[in-house]
Amino acid sequence: MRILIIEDEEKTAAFLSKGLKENGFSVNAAKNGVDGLNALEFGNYDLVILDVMLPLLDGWSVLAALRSKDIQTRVLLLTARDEVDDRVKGLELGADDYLVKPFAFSELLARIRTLLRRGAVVEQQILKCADLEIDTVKHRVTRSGKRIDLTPKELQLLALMARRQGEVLSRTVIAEQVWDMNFDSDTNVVDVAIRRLRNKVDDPFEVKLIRTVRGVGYVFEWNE
Amino acid sequence: MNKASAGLSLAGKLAIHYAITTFAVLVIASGILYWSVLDHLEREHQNLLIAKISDLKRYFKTSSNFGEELHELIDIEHHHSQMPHSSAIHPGIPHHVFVRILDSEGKLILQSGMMQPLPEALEFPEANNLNENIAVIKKKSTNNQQYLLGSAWTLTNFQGRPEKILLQGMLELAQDETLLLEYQHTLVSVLAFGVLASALSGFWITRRGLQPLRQITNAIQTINAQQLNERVGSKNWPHEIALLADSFDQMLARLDQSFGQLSRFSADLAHELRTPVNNLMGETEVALSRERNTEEYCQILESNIEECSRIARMIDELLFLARAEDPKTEINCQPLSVENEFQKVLSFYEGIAAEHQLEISCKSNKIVVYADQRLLRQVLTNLVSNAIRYAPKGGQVAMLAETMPDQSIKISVGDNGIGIPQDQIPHIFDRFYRVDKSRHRDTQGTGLGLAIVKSIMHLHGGTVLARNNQPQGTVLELIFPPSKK
Repeated sequence: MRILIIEDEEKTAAFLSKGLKENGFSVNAAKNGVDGLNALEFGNYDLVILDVMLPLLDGWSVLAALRSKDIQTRVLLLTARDEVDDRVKGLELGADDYLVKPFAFSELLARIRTLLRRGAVVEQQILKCADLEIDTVKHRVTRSGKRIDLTPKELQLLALMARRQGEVLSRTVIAEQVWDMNFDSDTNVVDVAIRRLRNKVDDPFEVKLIRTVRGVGYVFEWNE
Repeated sequence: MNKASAGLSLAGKLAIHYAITTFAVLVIASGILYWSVLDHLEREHQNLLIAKISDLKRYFKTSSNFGEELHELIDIEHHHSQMPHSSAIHPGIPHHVFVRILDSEGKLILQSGMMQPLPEALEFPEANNLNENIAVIKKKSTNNQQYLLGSAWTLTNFQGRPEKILLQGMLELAQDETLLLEYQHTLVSVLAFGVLASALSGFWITRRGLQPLRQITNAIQTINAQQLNERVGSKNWPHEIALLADSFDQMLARLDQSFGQLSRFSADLAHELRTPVNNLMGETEVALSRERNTEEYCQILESNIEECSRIARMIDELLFLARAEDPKTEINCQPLSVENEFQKVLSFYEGIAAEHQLEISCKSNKIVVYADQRLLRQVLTNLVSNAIRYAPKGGQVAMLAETMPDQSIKISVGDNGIGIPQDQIPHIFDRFYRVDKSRHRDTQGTGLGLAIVKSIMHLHGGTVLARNNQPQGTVLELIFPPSKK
């Protein structure tokens, strides 16, 4: 997957590049709107991370030029301005998503994955990871053949993590996906919920499935 | 209002108004006076003329003597030039009536001494035949003299036989004209003087009356941003100005309060930001001062990201508060089942409640509230999270929805924790206010939670109240206004 970053702030561009490369993307960066637009026309990118405030040609203009040339690369707008009007403007101009600085990198990663996955989401009924098996319809969870009793929310949390295994999920994303709390809520709740889930799913077993990424969130993965 | 009159002083404007009013009143009054004098004079003259002719008629009824007695009656002797100018001595007192007597053919029998100069252009009115009535007419001669003319027939013995004779009377009105002209002049001078006097006195009275306004202006001018605690209402102002002074004082008080809040807020903000930034700088500096192992680096980075999240959250919340204060901000209200929202919040906190052995109860009474879903959830989680923080181990948190008598909806969240000291309750909705200063940074809270609750309720047109719970703890009550469906 090829991603282009158009961002004039060097540090931001650098950490985005580094983070995305480490997550398996092929990344290029442009420092202003004109270079960015050129790169987009000739490079074959799947997604562009576009800052709004740019020298030479701002993000809005790049986006408008892109769409007028009928280039359908997915666009994720980054901005330090958080006005509702800006959001609407971005989406009207054809942006696929919108992220306000400061953002958590895990949040950005999640959004990128969602955008690239868009249209191809098939919800499996039965999820199998290592020796864990989740039946989301029958609300049954077994590990190594042993039945585990979970509350509905715990099951939802486990299914979310299993579906997005390998992805670091921030507390905000988890609160949003599991409890519908789409604002910066008491993220302590997520830690408690994970702790209680681990009690049931991980603690009695040798192989641990839920790993804490310190300061960032949680990831579902295991070593064979 | 055009520019010129807008630029005029209040006193000037009022003076002009006074002058106009006085002018109108005086014009009407003197018009009425003039007209009544005119009317009176005319009637007097008519009466005089009629009386004279009636006298003659009466005379001829009883006598047919054209001798001495009649001569006296019609003043044969005096000539016009000898006539005393009566109106010059007694203005307005009517003058002499000139008379002439004609026979039925129109031949002159007898006439007053001064009758000769009667201008020929004048014609006497046609008298009714022997009728009691006396015909009277007002005429103007060629030389612009005004005359009142009257005539009547009467029967008498003339030269031995009964004869119809014509009596004609004439009254010169020249003196009246002069009198009325004089009267007009007086009226005009009274008018001019009255208008001038009222304009001047109006100007002076207004200036005097507006004196307190100038004083209060001076008083207000001395107040600047550093002296917002000064007040102008203490002086003994006239009633109208006292109201103004009072309103001004209230405005000053509000300004003073806002200024105070703003500067406290800036100070608090700087302080709140200084702490995490200080931690970031210090930790990083210490970390870099010597080689460390990976585990240590990880710990430092983790701590750093915590501080960064705190700053980011604070920025988000401050922006939210700023936006909520913008009157243009719109929210997306819809009918929401309170039971659903309670259940969402319950499921969110079930883990924490279980860990703290807390019992969270809810009673929604099947109420539907008209609110923005995201904001309502934010308010509820905010309050429940606070309640959980303050409730003791094994304590209780209760959510309750009720419909009030005025159809507004009250949603309350209560705990049985330590409660809030009564004197601090009014402040808990202030930004960065913390009840227990020593618990400053124990949690991830930014100190803006309740300020956000307050502004969300404000966006809904509602309020939030705090009170102490019975027997202990705190209750926060959200009041949503009745929906305007």
